[in-house]
Amino acid sequence: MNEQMTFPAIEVRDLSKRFGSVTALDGVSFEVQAGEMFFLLGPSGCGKTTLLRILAGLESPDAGSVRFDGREVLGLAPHKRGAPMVFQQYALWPHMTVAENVAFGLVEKRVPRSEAASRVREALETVGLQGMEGRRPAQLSGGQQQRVALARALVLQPRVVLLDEPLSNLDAQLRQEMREEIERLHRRTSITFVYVTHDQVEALSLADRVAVLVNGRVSAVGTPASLYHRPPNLFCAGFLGEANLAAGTVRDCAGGRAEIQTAWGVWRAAAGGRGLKPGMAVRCVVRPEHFRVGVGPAGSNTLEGVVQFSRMNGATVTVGFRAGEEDFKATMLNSGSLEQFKEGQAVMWHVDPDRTVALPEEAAV
Amino acid sequence: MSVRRGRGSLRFLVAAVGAFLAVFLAWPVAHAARRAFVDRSGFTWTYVASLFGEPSQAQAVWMTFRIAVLVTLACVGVTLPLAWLFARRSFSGKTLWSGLMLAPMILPPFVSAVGLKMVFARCGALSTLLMNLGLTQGPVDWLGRFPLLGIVLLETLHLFPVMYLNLVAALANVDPALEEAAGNLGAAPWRVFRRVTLPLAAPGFFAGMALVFIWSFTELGTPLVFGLRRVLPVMIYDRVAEVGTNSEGYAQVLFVLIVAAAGFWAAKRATARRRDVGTLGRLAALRPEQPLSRLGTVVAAVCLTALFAVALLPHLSVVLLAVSRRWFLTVWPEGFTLAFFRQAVGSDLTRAALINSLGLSLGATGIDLVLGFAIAWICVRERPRGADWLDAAAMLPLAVPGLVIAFGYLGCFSGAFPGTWLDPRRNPMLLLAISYAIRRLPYMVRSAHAGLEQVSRTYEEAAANLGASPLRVIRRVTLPLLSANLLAGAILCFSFSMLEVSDSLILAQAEEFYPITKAIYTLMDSLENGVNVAAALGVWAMLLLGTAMLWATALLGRRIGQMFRIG
Amino acid sequence: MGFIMRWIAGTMFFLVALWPYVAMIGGTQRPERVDGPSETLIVISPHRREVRQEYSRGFSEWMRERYGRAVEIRWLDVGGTSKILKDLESRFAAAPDAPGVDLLFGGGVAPYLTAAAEGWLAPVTLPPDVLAEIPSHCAGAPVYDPHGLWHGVALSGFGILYNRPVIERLGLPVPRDWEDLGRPAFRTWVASGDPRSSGSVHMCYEIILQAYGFDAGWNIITRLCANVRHFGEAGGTAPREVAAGEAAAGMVIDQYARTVVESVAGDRLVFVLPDRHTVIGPDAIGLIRGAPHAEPAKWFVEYALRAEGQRILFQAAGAGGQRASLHRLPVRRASYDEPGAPRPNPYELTQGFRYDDAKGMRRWNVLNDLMGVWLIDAHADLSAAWAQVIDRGVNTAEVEALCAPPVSEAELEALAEQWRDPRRRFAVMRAWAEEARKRYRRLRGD
Repeated sequence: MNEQMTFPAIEVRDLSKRFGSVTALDGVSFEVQAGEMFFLLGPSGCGKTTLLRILAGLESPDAGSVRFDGREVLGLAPHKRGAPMVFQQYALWPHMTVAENVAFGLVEKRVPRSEAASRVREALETVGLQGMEGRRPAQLSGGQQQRVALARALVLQPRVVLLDEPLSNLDAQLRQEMREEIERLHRRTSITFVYVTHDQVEALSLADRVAVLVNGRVSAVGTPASLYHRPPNLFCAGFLGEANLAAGTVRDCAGGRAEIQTAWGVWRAAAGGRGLKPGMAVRCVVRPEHFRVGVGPAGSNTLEGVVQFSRMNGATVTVGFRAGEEDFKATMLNSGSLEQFKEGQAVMWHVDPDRTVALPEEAAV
Repeated sequence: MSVRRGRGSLRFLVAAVGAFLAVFLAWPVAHAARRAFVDRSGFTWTYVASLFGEPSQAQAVWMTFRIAVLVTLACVGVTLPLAWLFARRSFSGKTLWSGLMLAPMILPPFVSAVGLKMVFARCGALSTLLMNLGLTQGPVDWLGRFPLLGIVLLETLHLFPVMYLNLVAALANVDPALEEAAGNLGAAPWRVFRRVTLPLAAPGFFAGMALVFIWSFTELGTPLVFGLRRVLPVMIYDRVAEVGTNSEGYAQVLFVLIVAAAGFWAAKRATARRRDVGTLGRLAALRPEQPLSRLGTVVAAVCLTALFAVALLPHLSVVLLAVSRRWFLTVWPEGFTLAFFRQAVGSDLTRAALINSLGLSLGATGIDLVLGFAIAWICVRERPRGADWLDAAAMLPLAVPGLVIAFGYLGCFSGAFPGTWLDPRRNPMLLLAISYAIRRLPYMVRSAHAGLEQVSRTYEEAAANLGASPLRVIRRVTLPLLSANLLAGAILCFSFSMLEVSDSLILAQAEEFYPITKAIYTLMDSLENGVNVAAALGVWAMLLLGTAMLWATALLGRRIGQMFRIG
Repeated sequence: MGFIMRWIAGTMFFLVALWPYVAMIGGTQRPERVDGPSETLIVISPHRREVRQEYSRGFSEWMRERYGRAVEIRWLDVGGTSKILKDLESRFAAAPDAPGVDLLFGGGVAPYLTAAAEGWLAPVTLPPDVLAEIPSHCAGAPVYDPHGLWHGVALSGFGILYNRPVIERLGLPVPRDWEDLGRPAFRTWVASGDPRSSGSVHMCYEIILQAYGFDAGWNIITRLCANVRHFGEAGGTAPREVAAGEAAAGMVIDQYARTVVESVAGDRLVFVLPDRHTVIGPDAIGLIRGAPHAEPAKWFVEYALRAEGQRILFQAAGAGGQRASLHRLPVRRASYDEPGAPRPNPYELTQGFRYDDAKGMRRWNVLNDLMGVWLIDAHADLSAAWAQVIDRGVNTAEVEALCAPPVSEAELEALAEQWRDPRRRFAVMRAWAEEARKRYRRLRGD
C-alpha cells in the first residue's frame, strides 16, 4: 500500500484515428519510461507521425487515452502539453533570429528576460551554435537549423521531447554527426525522447526501446537487440535489419524450441511468435551475418546453395546464393579472397539453431 | 491546432464574421430585393414591370447594356493581342511594359472623365487641333454627337488591365505541350492560338469578360460626369431622395444586382472548371517564350506606345487641367498655375473631405484587416463546413456594386434605426466606412488567403507546441509572417477606399460628411474654377493610387494580379 | 533589390498620402468657440456651396455676437428643387410631424407655394423693423408671403449668357432676347438645364410662356429646345457649358451668370437681361412645420433679412470675412444704398409684363411634364426634325407644324387640376409621347 506509485512518462492506450476512410491509428498502446530514448519506427504512412502529433496535441484521436506521468492530457490544448517537438522541416520562424527562435517558448512561459537570455545562450552552447544568435534561419545550413530546432525544444527543460524524423533532411555525413549529437544530448539531459523515424539504422543505434508501427498498429515493442535477434514477427524481422526467410513446416514444438521441416532437412530453431503448432507453415529467420561456410558442428542447420553473386562492401562481403527455390544472402568478414564464391559454385552453409528463429507465416501485414 | 478544443471559439468567430456579412451585405441586398416587390399597399409587380414597360426606364436598361457590351468588346479587342504577346512572346522592354499594365487603373474613370471632357470638348484640345490643321471647318462636338464615346473609351481604358490579368493567367495555365502538338500537326502559330490556346484559356477569358461587363454595367461616376442621365446607375442615384417612398429605385437596384450576380456566378463557375482543363498532368516547368523578330519587336513597341499613349491620355489631361490657367480654343493650356493645388487643400469643402476620407479609409482598412484575416484564416486553416460559402460571400462584393450596397443601406438603416447613429441620413460616417470595407474586402481576403497558403502551418504548430496559446500564435507567428500580404492588402484597401465613388455619392448627403470623391463631384458642379480644383485632387488621387500599386507590387510581386481576378 | 524597392515605394506612398494633410496644417481657421451648448440648424437647400458657406459663417458670427450662442448649420444637399420637394415628401410620409429639417432655403418661390399647399411650412413672424425695410412687391411680384410662410431673401433676374469668342468664331448673331435662341443658326449651340430638376431653369421657360403669351411662347420654347445641345440636369449646367464653349448661349439666372463671368477672366462671357421679357423674382426661405430646432431657425430667417445677412449677398470676396462673391440682389431696399451694392436696383425697374406667380405654381408640374415629354425626352427626334426643317429652308408652315402647342393654355390649366392622379397623368403623358414622336418623325420626312 505504501509502495510508491510510479507512472510511466507517457502511457498511450488504444489510440485510434481515422482520416476519412483512411485508418491512421488502430488501437495503439505503449508506454514510455521516464528518461528513455523511445523510438517509433515504421515505414512511411504507418501512422507514426500522426501518433506523435497526437502526443503534441496537434491532432486529436477518435478514441483512446494519452497520459503524461499518469495525467490524462488529451483534453489539453497543444500549448499546455509541455512536450516540445522537433519538426521534420524544423519549422524555424523565418522572421525571428536564432536567439528569438530559441527564446520563443521561454517568452511564452514568462521567464524573466535575464534568465531567458542565459538559458538561450546555454542551449545554443549545448548544441554548438554559440555566436550564431543574431542570424536568421535562412542564413544557416541544414545541420545548424537542426541544432536550433533542438535547442528550441531543450531550452524549455521539458520532461518530454518529441522528434519527428529529425534527420531525414540531412545528408549522410551530417546525419551520422547529428545522431551522435542527439545521443549525447539525451545522455546529458535525462529528458524522455520520443523519436519518430523510418530509418531502422537510427532506431537500432540510438534507441533504448523501439515500437515498430505498421498500418496503424504496434507490431512489436522492445529493445533494439531483442527485436533484432528475436523478432516477434516476420514484419519486424524484415524491417529491422536484413533477414533471410527460409520456408518450412513445423514438425514439433516444445519448450520454446521447434523442429522445422525445410527443403534441406530438419532445422531446429527458437520458436517465435505465439503458439507454433505442428503442421503450421513458418519461416526460419536467419540474419545474413549468421551464415557460416561449411557443415558446422553437429546439430547445425545446414543447406547447400549455388552462388549467384558476391560483393565486397569493405569490411564485409556479401554472398548471394540460391538454395532450392529460394534466394539467400550471407555476410561475413572480408578475409581477403572471394575465390570460393565464384558464380555457379556450390557452397555448403550452416547456422547455429540458437541464431535461427521460426516465425509463423502471416497474412499480409 | 486542436480541432476539438478550438471548436467553441471557432464557432464564435464564424458566427461573428457571418453576422457582420449578414447585416452589412446580405440584409441591404435582401431589403432592396424585397422593396422592389413590396410597397405600402403590399405585393406588386408594377415596379419590376415598369422597368421594361416604361419607355424611359426600358431605354435606360437598353442603354446600360449597350455601354457594358461595347466596353466588354472593346476590352476584348485590346486585350487579346496583348495577352498573346505577353504570354507567348519575349521581347525587349517586356518587363517595363507589363509593369505599366496596371497604370491605367490608377485613376478612377470618374476623375479621368473630367480631364477627357476637356480634350473632347467642342472648344477643347482635339477640336482645336483639327481646326488648326484645317481638317474641320468649325468645332466638332465629339461628346454631343457620340454621347457614348467618352464613357466607352474611358471605361475600356480603365478596365482592360483587369481583363488582361485574367486572360494572361488563363493563358499561363495552358500546357504548352498541347500547343506544340497542334503546331506539330501543321497549324500556323496564330491558328494554334485561335484553335487550341484560346478555347483552353476560355474560362479565364470569360471571367475577365464577366468582370469587365459587371463593372461597366454598374459604373455610376463616369456617366454622371458625362451627363448621361438615362443609364440605370444614374437613374438609381437620382432616386436616392425618394428612397423611402418610391420603389422604382429598388426595382432598378434589383435588376442591376441580378445582372451583376449572374455574371459573377457564371465567371465563378467557369473558373471553377478551369482546373480540369488545359493541362496534361503536370504543367511543364517553364514555357519557352519565343523571341519576337526584330521587325516584330519594333511593331510591338509602336503598338504598345500607341496604346499607352491613348490609355494615359486621360491622366495627362487631368494633370493639364489641374495646372492650366486657361484652356479654351487652344491645343495646349495657356498659362500654368499651382493655385488649384493650394485651393484643393485650402477650401473648407476639400479640407473636410480630405480629413473625412482619411478617417473613413483608415476605418475601412482596419475593419478589412480584421475581417479579411479572420475569413482567410477560417477558410484556409480551419475549413469548417460551409467555408466555401464564407469565401464566396467575401468575394461577392466584386459583383455587388457599391451602388446596390449604398442604396440598400439607405433603405434599411434609415428605415430601421431612424435618428440613431446607424441612420445614414443623420450621420453616414459609420456606414460609409463599413460600405468601403465591404467593397474592398475581396482584396484583403485574397491577399491574406494567398499569404496563409504560403505560410506553412507547421510554423504555427511549432509555436503552439512551444507553449503559445492560439491568440499568441497568431500574434507572434502568423501575423508577422503574413505582414507583407496584409500590408499589401491594406494599402489597396486604403487607397481604393480613398477613391470610392458610388457609396460616397449616395450615402454622404451633408457636406460635413463628404469624402473626397463627393467633393470632387461637387467641385465639378461648381460655377467657378471647381473643375480645375477637382482635377488637382484627381492628380493627387492618381499619385496616391499609383504609389499604392507600386508598393503593393513591390510587396506581392507578380501575385498582385490575383487581386483583380475572379477565380 | 526587392527590399530597396519596398522601401522606396513605401516612402513614396507615404509622401503622397500625407502631402495634403501636411499642406493643410496651419491653414485651419477654427472659429472661436463659444462656451455653452452648440446648437445645430438643419437647412435643406439647392443653394450652391459658396452661398451655404457664407451663410454658415455669417450666421454663426451673428449669433455669437448678438446672443453669445454657438449655432452650426448642417446643409442637406439632395439635389435641385424638385428633388428637395421629393425628399420633403418622403420625410413627411415617414414621420408626419418630425421631418428632421428646420428650414427650406432657396429655389425661387414656386417650391414654397407647393410646400405651403402641402402644409409643410410654418409661419414666421418677423420683428416689424425688419419687415418694414422690405417692400412687399418688386415689379409687381410679391416679395414675401402675407401669412409669413415664406420670405424672399434675394431677388433673381433671368437672362441670357453668351460666350463671345464662340459667337464670333461661328459668326452667330449676338443674342438679345429669348427669341434669338430659337433661331436656326443656334442649332446645337444652346445650353439648358432640365426644368424638371432645376427650379431656375423652369422659371426661364415659364417666363417665356408668360412674356410672349402661351402660343407664341411655346413656339419659341420648341425651337429653343430643338437648338439645345444636351439637357443637363442642374441649373448650373447652362452657365458651365457656355463658359466652357460647349454651347454658345444659354438661359441663366443672374447670380450664376455673374459668378461664371467673374471666375472666367476677361470679357469672354456676356450676360444680358432681355428687354421687357424678363422678371425679377424673389428667392425665398421658409420654416418647416415640425422643425426640430424652430427657435434658431427663426433667428436664421431674421438674420437673412437684416442688413448683416443681406450684405452677404453682394459683398465682394475679401470684405468682412467674405470668401466668395455671391453676386446676388438683396430684398432689403436700403441695402442698395450701401457701397458695393449691385446695379441695377431691381426696385427701380419696370416690368414689361405682369408675371403671374400663382399661375406658374398651378401648372408647375404639368408644364414640367409637358416639356419633359415633348421637348426633352423626345429631344433626339425633335432636333432631328428641326435639322430637316432647317435644311429644307425653314418654311413657315413647317415651323408652325413643328412648334404648334400640343395643348392650349386652357387645356393645360385643366390638366393641372387632374395632375395629382397618377394614372391620369401617366395616360396623358403616354399619349403625348406618341403624338410627339409622330409629329417629329413626320417632319423628319420618314
